[in-house]
Amino acid sequence: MDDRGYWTRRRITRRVALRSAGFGAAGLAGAALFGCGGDDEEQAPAAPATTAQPAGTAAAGGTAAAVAPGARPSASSGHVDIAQSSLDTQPGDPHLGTSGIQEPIRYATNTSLFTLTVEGERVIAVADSIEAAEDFLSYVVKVREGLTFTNGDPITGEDVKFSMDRVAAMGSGKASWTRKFSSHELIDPMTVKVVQTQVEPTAFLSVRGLYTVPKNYTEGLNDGPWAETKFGEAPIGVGPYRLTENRIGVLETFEAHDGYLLGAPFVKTITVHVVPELTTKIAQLQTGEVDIVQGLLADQMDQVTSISGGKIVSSFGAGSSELTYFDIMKPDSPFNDVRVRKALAHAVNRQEIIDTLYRGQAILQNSLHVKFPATTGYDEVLAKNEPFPYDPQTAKQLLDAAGYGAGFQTQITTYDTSTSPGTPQMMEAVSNYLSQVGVISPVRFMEAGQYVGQFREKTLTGMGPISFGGLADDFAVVYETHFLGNTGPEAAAPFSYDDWQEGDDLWRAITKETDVEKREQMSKDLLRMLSRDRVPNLTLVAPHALLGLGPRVADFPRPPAQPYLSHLEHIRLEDGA
Amino acid sequence: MYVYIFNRLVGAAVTVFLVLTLVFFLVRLSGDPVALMADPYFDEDDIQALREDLGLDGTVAEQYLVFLGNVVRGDFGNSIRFREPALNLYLDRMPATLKLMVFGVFFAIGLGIPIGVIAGVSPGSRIDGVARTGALLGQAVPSFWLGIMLILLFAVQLGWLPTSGEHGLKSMILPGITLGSFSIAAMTRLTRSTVLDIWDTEYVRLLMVKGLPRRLVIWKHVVKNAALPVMTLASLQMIAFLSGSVIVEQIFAWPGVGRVAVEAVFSRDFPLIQTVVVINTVLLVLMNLAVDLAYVAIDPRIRFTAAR
Repeated sequence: MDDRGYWTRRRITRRVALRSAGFGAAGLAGAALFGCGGDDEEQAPAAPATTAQPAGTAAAGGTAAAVAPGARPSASSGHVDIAQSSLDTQPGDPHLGTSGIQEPIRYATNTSLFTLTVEGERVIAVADSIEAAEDFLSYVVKVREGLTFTNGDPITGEDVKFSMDRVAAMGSGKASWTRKFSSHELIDPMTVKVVQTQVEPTAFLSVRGLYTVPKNYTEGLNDGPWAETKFGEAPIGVGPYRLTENRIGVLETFEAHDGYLLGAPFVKTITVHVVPELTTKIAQLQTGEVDIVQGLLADQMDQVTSISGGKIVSSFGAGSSELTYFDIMKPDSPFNDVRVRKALAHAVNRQEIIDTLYRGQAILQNSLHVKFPATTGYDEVLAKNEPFPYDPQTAKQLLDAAGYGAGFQTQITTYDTSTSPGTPQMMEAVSNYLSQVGVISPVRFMEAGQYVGQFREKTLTGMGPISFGGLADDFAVVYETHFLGNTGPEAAAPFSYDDWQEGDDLWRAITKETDVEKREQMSKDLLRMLSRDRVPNLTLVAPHALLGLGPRVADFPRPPAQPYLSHLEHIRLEDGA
Repeated sequence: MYVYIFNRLVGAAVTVFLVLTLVFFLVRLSGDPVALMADPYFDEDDIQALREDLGLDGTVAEQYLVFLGNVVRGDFGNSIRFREPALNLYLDRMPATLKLMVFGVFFAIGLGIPIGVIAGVSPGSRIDGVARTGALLGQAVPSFWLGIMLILLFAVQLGWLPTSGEHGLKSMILPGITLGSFSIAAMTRLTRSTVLDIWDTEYVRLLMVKGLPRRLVIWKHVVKNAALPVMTLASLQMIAFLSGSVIVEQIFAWPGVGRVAVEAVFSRDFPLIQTVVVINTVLLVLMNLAVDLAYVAIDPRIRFTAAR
């Protein structure tokens, strides 16, 4: 059953979510994963299958073995060391995180009302059901019975309500929360009613689904009403792991929570080390000092597979690279003309970039931001057919028609980002392709902080890449943060340089639409119009996120579109390791 | 002497104040830290709320006055990024830097001076040739490359030492050598050059003619007279080590203050940048004062000048 109208269902339950989210295809396993309260109709989700290996993985190292469906341990065991380039600010408090790189680690210690499985499907988790009112202005969240925090405290509606209070009072997303939700109240010990300020079916997504923290424990820390300081030092959550050591800039250590609602982790303890240098990480894998390294480039795959028992796993299409036309709204700029924007899209040989720069470890990105079926608005036709195939002749014809047959001068400003490795090199390649159709675009490198700051301040000129990782949940949410212009009362998207009235109006209609089928179709229409007709960005490629596994690790399934560590509970060690 | 020390301390305080003020305003020219921290899903309201939470919503002048008032109480503010006291974050990393500094200094001074002395007293010899070549390589080879090569050889190929991280004495060897390689080369060259100058003087020839053992002439008379410039260089090296080596800490995942400083700059973490710069300035002025006082202890002529 197609569930891309996930967020606009009137009632979402575990049974609906599991059946509709592709688990039926995977086969429901007989083994129980978590306490289902004796409900015979509830079935456990299948254990995750290994992400399909990308083409070109070296045969010598082999690929990770598929996990037997339905297999979850009764108790976790063993230890794993992981090397990651950065853990950013390492906030122990899930309500204080601000960046995507922290998100996967937060998954380890926290689970929200819903979560993302390793197959990339959304399932509700702490919630047993989320039911919308007829007018979609309020939701009733029923908390699942029998769940406990990592300290053993049972999870109740009071904890969920307290968590909402906390986010609204001191969370890093408190402004979004108070703008989107007008009130929330406990209506019985296991049920919370949330009222929105306006109809917005995807409101929960913009507050990351609400991580639940224990009320009694937090208040018992005697650090003000929200324990802003002390909670992060000794956090308690609902995740598969508990944070036991947090040395900023050095490491994080996790210990398994065997009572986790989706099943005990395989590995008992995990330490994630901060190792900024890629060469050092690979050396650590070679010596066995670590078992998993994150952030490999395609060129490093051979070094890992040459280790006896070394393997590569990848998250498909984890990165997302698009070139933004900063001058799109300037009347005297070539980029103001859509023919020029389409011409440049035809001028770039993206497949050649994948084959040479990424050694096959990337996919074509044919639509803006939306790469996988799990995203509402995904259009299979658009995804599988390049809207602008490589064709320098057509590019020149379009430039000629727009009055730029002799070409023009512009610039590409770029930065380095861990979300899409190889971005500066890709920009050099793009610059070369553009020069072949007469568009001269020297590449200027800028430090990441300065680049992102100027990008948000909208002071950049010419063109420049922007990269985002993660699985987009809903295209309407993506549009709001990346493409919405200054055409209405809402604030323009922080990353948008465009003011496209037609698209913005359609977006507004989508956000109010509660009919699942209509919403889905409108989202597809908007995505098609944006990707094929408006073309505010030049889509490039989506690199896979590569991880190296040492001989002790049997498997580490990766969800799609995840550039960083996540789902640590699925790491499996070889027998005897 | 005490007047001299008092004057120097007053001067140091003024220097620190000026550096503090300069850094405070300079870092604010580098961009908006909130824009960097903000989640892509944040809109302007979220960003403004974050700015208020971090105390960055007032004017620069207001922020400066608040900052000054806090600094005199020893409060350098909370790191924007980590939301913990900036001073604590710095001090947390200092022990690792101190360990590496001690190793680097021991390596640089412990080997650089003796090699330089031996080369200086036997110019043109094979030992001198090896010392000069080694010094040239030490200063020419980039520490980034050297560190990686040491890891590949001693950790990966031979398995004798760990690749990285702070795990006790063994883990200090490779980063310590990498850190000290440039310094040992510099110490060798300067010591050799200074000893060479002194070795040619008449009083040294007189000492030799008088029949003093060569070893005594070298280590008691020549080295003592060669000490001043070498000591100056050694103090500068120590300051550099104390500030942390970004490259060494990056390669060896060493949790020192160098990485903290660079990450603070990249993330526009104003309080942390200010803390690092101010403390390093204090250390620099104190180290300079200590070296100046040591000069007095070594060279009586300087003592005489100070007493006037």
